[in-house]
Amino acid sequence: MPPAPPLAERLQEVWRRAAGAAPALRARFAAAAGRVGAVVHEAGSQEAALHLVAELAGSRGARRLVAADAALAEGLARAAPGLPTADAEREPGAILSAEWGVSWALCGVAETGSIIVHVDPPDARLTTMLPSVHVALLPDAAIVESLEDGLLVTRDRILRLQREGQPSYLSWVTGPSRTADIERVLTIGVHGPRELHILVVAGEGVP
Amino acid sequence: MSRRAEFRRRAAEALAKPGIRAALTRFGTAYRKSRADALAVLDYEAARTRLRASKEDAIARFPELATEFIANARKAGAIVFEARTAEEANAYIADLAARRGVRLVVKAKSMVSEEIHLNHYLERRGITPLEMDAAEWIIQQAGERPSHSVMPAIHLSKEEVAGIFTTALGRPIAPDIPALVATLRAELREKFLEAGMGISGANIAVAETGTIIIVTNEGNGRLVTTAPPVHVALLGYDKLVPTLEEAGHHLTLLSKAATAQALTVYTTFITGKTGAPRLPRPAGYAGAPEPEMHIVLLDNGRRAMREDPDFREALYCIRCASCANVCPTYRVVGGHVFGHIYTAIIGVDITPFHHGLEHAAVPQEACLLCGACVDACPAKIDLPRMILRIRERLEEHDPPRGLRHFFLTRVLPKPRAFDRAVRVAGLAQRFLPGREGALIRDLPGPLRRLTSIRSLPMVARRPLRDRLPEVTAARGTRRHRVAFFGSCLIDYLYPEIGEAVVTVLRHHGVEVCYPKGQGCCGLPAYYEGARDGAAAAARATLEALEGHGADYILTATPACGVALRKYLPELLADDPALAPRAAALAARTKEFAEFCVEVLGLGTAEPAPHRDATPITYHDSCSSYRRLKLKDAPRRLLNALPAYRLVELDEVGECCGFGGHFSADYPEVAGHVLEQKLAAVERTGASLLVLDSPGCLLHLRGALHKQGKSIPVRHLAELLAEALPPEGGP
Repeated sequence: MPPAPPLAERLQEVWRRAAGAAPALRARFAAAAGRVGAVVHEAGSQEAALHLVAELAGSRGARRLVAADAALAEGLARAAPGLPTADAEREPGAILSAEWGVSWALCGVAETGSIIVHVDPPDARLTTMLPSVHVALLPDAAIVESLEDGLLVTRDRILRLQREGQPSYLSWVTGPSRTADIERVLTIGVHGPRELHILVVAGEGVP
Repeated sequence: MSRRAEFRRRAAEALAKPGIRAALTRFGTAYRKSRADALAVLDYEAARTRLRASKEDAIARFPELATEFIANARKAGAIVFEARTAEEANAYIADLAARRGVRLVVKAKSMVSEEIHLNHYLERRGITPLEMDAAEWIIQQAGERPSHSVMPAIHLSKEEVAGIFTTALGRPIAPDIPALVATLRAELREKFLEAGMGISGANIAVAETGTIIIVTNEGNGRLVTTAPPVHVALLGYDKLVPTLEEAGHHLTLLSKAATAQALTVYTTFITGKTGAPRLPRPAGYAGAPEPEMHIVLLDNGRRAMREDPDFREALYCIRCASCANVCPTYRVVGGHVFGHIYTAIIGVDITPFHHGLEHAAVPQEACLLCGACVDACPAKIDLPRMILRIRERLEEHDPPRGLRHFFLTRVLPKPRAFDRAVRVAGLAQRFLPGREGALIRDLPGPLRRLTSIRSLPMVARRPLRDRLPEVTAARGTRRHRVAFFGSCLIDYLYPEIGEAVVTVLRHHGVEVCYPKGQGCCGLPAYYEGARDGAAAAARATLEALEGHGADYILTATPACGVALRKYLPELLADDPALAPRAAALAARTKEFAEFCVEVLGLGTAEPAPHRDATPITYHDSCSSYRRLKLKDAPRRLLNALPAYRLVELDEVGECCGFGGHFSADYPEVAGHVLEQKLAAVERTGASLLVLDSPGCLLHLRGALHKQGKSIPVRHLAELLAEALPPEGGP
């Protein structure tokens, strides 16, 4: 077997293939994510996405949102002036009373309907774990085809940080939290979010 | 108490709780289907071949991978501790907790922590460990141990779970599953924040980055590794892989095989010390806020396993529990009987290294040696082979005495002594009460166990060796000459099957030699760990079957076919004179159906059953289906018989519960496996059950007779012989 080409080249190839099949991959991703119980929405822009989050959260009676970074928090505050949104890092306690957590996803995987979430600061990371609902914004160009492709993205991200001696915490999230521990009956929402909303955002670039 | 008596006691305890069986049967049936669907998206054989190669490479290189992993994890801020023993790992974690002032530890699911009894150790040091995985929490509250490595509480009903919740929380909780789960979520939420330390396991450790990968569905794994300031990951060296891409391959097979998911909900990649949240902590919180990340790499017998050629492949396990999920006896007795700390066959295989040989002695009895687990294992581990090695080591460790051992080592391997013994038994049985034709419904006194689930066949008045000449000439032109190994079962119990075999063969131009020096192939001794007896029988068998000028050695008892083809060469491998002869014999040995199809060219006709063809069903023996991989040949032969129409059983290839000595020693357990098979036979509506193994025939025919059911059970050779035109005809 010839040696595999370097990671950077293979990664380029992954994104080239993804760009070539973007509409098909979006459809495949939405179907796969739907099968594992995630709710997929589409938004024409980041602003539209933030309005959609505000609308969804408002209609569901959420009283407080928490965002994984300052820009998201500000954007949400503009989109929903009536709905208090905290920046998890600036207000670490806010997570305890927020029903919805909002973050970006690094990448989507069409084959499995997974999103790859890379949020390192622990308070921000909890926005994807502790609230009842997790909303992830996913750039529409960041959907790769297969598990293998997604793994290359993961590997590249971890390696680049690790070489600088940087730690990292990445999760592949495939649907909302679930258990079948009692009598094998599938039950949604144990320790992680009971609902997972993925907003596929148009016009956002590759991670 | 002897290990058989102790196994019987434990099995009886499990059998007294029908809920276990019902839950495992429901799950087992659903799992087989959903797993097949999940795996259908990939080339399973290619994927497991790749996983096997990947694990072989990783275990071969584990010292260097460990060095690389440790260096990279340290570079990213983790503190790595290499623990040689359970005690060292426990002490390290407990000391760390004490140093950090930790009172409460939250835990994600970790079988390694069960292996080292970490909870017990922490409790003794005044630290409270709390399991956060739903099933583990339930088990912990109940004071039990996991009965399954992926689904620890599978043996409990929702009513039992509700009872455990009621006791643990001190208020009545209804047996409503969504409500139980919601209660658990609410009750445990605060604990994540209150704990000073989180302990997780890891499914994979990646050398190139120092990353640990944790696979969970509930989300407790991510909270345990994020909310408390100190995270300890506890894992064995067997979890190391070189690269993240290699890890991906393990992940996809793990989730598909374990839970029939394309991917588990959360697959988390943690590299180094990633900090601790600054959120306000609840009242019970104790400990400093500075984050720390510790990785405890555990040996505890793994290096010894790696150095032991008989057991090295146990380290290739990815803990998917497929072997439990497809195991016919696990389905009956559950993991508290079939397991020590680690459950099911892989659990028993590794127990000698983690906990000592003596702890494997009783649970290993649960293995039927059917081999279903080998086909289900994504790493292609030969799990029952290691059960045999455990049996041999138990024998060495504590040499058995008594009549049974005498028979296996002194009578069985000597064809003449064995022949005399069977003939004496044949004479003695004439005085038995309860005979019905060729069957005995109830044996008296201490022998009663042998007829508790099935009537037993009588020893034939004239064994096959008295009925056949040394050589039976071919009809017409001689095309081949074979030496027929009759097997004890056909020779002494079912000579009519042997005669049918000879009828079919000579009709097709085969000259059949029946070497009168043959006896037992040694399989009963081999399967019980009496290796010396087995080797002596192998030698006698080799000598009896050689030198008859035969093109092939033929068997019509697949278990003996396995013995001749696989175990004879293995048992005689150390003898430089016998080893090549055994290998040559093995290479020439063919099973009846295989010989008919491959050598005689039978079974090529397209199925064209008559309009009024009799519906029949076919039961594959484990030896032919699993070991010899003979699935097609018998079906082709049956399909070529226009008088019959084949209706397949549900769960084709599943064991009937015979298992040689197993069904004689543990009829209570074997009886439940048998019931599954009989129910499947009934569902086909067939009026005849055909099979290829006299052992399964003894079991199934005897059981049907005992239950007063009239479905006849026939060997494939008998159907073929009956379908031949009468001799002397056109």
